[in-house]
Amino acid sequence: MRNVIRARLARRSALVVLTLTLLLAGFNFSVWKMERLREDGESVFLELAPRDPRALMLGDYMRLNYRLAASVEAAYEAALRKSENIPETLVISLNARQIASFVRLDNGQTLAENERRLKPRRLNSGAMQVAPGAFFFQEGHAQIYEEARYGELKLSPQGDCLLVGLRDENLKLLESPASSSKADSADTPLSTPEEIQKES
Amino acid sequence: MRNTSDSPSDTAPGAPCSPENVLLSPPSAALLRRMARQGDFSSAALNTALRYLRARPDAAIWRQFWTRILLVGGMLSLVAGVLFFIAWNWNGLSHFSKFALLQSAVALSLGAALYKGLDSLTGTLGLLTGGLLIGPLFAVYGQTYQSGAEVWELFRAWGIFFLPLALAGRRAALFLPLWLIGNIWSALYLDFGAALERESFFPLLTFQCGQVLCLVLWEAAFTWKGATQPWLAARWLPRLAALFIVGCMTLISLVFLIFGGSDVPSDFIRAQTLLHTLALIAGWFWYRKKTHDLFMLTCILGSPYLLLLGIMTRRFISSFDSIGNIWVLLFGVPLFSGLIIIGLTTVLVRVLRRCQQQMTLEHAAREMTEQTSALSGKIEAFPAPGLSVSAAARWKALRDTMRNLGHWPEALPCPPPAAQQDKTMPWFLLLIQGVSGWVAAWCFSCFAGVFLMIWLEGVSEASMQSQLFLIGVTCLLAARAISSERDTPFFTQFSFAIALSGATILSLDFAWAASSFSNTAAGLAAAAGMAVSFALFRHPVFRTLTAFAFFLCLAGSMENTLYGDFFFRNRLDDLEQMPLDTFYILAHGVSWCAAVCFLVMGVLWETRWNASRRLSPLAAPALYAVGALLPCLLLLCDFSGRHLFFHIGYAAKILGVCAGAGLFCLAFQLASRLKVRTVAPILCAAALSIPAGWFLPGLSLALLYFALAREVGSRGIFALTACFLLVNLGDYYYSLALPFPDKSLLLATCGLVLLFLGVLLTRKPPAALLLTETAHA
Repeated sequence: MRNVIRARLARRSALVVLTLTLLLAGFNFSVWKMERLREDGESVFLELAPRDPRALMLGDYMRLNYRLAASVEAAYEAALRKSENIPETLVISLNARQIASFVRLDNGQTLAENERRLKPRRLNSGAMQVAPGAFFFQEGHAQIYEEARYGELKLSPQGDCLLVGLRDENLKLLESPASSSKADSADTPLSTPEEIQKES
Repeated sequence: MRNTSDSPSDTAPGAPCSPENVLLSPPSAALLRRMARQGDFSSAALNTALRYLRARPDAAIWRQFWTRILLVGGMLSLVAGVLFFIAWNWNGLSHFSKFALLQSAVALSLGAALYKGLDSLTGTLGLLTGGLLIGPLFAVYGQTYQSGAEVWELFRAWGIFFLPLALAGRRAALFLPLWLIGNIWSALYLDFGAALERESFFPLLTFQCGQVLCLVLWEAAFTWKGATQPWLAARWLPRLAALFIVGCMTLISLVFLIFGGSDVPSDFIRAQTLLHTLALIAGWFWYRKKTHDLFMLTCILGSPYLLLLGIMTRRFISSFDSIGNIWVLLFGVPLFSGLIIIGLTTVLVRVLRRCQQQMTLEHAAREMTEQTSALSGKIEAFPAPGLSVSAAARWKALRDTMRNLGHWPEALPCPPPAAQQDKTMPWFLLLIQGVSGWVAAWCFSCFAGVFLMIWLEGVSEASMQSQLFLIGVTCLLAARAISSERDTPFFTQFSFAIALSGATILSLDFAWAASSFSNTAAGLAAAAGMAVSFALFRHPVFRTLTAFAFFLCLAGSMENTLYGDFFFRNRLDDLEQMPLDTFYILAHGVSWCAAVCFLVMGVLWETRWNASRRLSPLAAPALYAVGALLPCLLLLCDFSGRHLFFHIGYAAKILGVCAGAGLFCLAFQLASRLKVRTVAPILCAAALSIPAGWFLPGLSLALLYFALAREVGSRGIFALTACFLLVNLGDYYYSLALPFPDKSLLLATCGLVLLFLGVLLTRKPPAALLLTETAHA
């Protein structure tokens, strides 16, 4: 009887160890993947129209609405009406300042030099989200981001994107004092359009 | 077949099994208190009996109780501190540092659980801490890598990793957070608001099916593995889930099926009706025939009760509306709704009582076949017709113990007569009666109000006030006469409803008369009206409600005196400039102190006033009213503090300090017989709750209420306090009055202090305490 109880306890302990291992391995693998995208991804700017509430567990954030979202939504609706296959990605074109505008839904055509693929997300509510819909920031720093006009995305060749910062109308990076003091930090985004172009 | 009904009342096979004698139950705290009120026991005898039943804690139980409260509270407070810190999203700390910090914390918690053993309290706490910290870990990930993932994805991943931990821990307490995480995930994922905007009702059905599936899984596990896995026998979790499911189903059916109109698609109506009906029938069969559970049956019957009420009210509205006379509508709907509520409640309670009796008989028959041989000697030595073996043995042990101490009256039969026990009803049936009586009373009040408006039209103001006074008093006296004449559930509720109408009329009349002087005078006059009503009608629920309204009116008058003029003369924006004077602090300090003192002393002297026929009907309602008032006012302070009254924040802080002082006094009183060496650390620990009350008033008040709940042995108060703490913490998160780092620091410090005290308690007890424990044993 005692052996049975011991064996059960050992199985339960193994379950805890397995959960912890899976959690840490999976979590750190995702961190590694995201860090790669952050470092290797191309910077793209999307024009936005923001507002800020407080999220459950995640703290204060700015809700982002992108200007090109309306054209993307219209293109998807048109495709739905024509009963065409809905592609997973769409095509955007970048101007000299790396600011994106919508071109078409991705129909497999070869991309022009200034065109890129972007993978939008279909939300549960049915709405189409072209890029992350929220920017999380430190509590009390809402005023710094009031000037935000563009969201800076890191874009992978497959179209996956990551929101890394907000910029004002001159594409100047908006940063809290603590972040800006860490100028030599590896993950600090580029701060001027010239630097961004050089990087591209 | 398992019996899980709340009052396992049994009878011996062969004895006449009429409904009158099957309710003979084993000794319980409620029954003993009732016997003391009837004069069978003195206060000392009641105290002895309650301590014997462990309803009143001794030193060993207190020690165990505080160890759990401090460890669990400390751990939760620490986790909340971490969560608030993550929500702050501090830029000064790099995200890699945050990842490392949280991953280490998760690993350490789970490692500690494995090291201490998964079945120990520390092991369970370790699993719980580790499982809860996974949430903040994913939150940091979501803040750092803003890839557009939705919040429900965080909860889904959290739930997936929490599940194996709960399975490994094998405690119902670990499945509660899992159930909550799952509920938040499904609510966010299904996004009911957006779905209804798209006129999609499918998410509502999916949500209900998921909830039912969770309950079915738990009950299946209980049925198949309950014998070998005792942790599955915990009934509070499936009961909570069932209450939630039935509540959701009833609400959805009421909103969309009965009051929904023609916009609701017929497919959804058919599917919802089918799902709701099937769930209720299957539930009734299961909990009536397989797993006896009166609470579940009450939930199941409560649903058609509410639906029927909704259908009839809608019918009344459409019928009276079609007549075309507004007065008929205003008269008819409240009057008929009130009558229907009374009738339906009476039927509901009778059916449930009948079920209780039948299940008792079935359970007793089964118990007898199992235990007759083992305890037959005891039955011969202690013959009690209509009483089961185990109940008889418990009554005998209680009588022998009390006789040895000279507390059992020779004239008192053992067990007490069935007629005395017949009144002991499960708390949820009492609650249903109280709430439905209260709702019916307000329906009658509306009816009476409309009636009075017509009758008194054109009468002078003075004459109108005197007539209202006469009507109010007449209602109260009539209710008193009805309740004393007929003691059935119907007449009790009917008289209760009339009395509440009378109390409302009387208080409004008093307030109206005094309003010509000032708002404060009007509040005081309304309180006086409630006091008169309290004196005129004897019904415990009615008296608790009137006492609550009385104290509320007093509090309102006081607030009006303190800064009512400032509020009415200034704009809302200027309120933050309001001067804070000593008088304000003093007035709040004195009133909160008085309320807390009343509460603590009332609980400490419970056996004295419970054994007194004159004091008991006055003290119990007043005590419950003050007890309910303090958390309500604190929540009001929290919710409105940052929007309306700037100084209400200070009022909450003063209340927190008073609650801390109350906890200190309680500890001092209970530990006064111990030696100084033992008392000093206990009092030092209790004194910490006073400064804690200034910074975290909700926590301090909750600690006081947990202690009071244990002192009187009430699980209901304990559960309500836990709910209050949860709501208070939720409000604290969204409050903008204090920044996240301050909140996080406060919660984490508080958690560490509580954990430190809890760990101290788990160490070897001091010799003096051991001696006391031995003496108690």
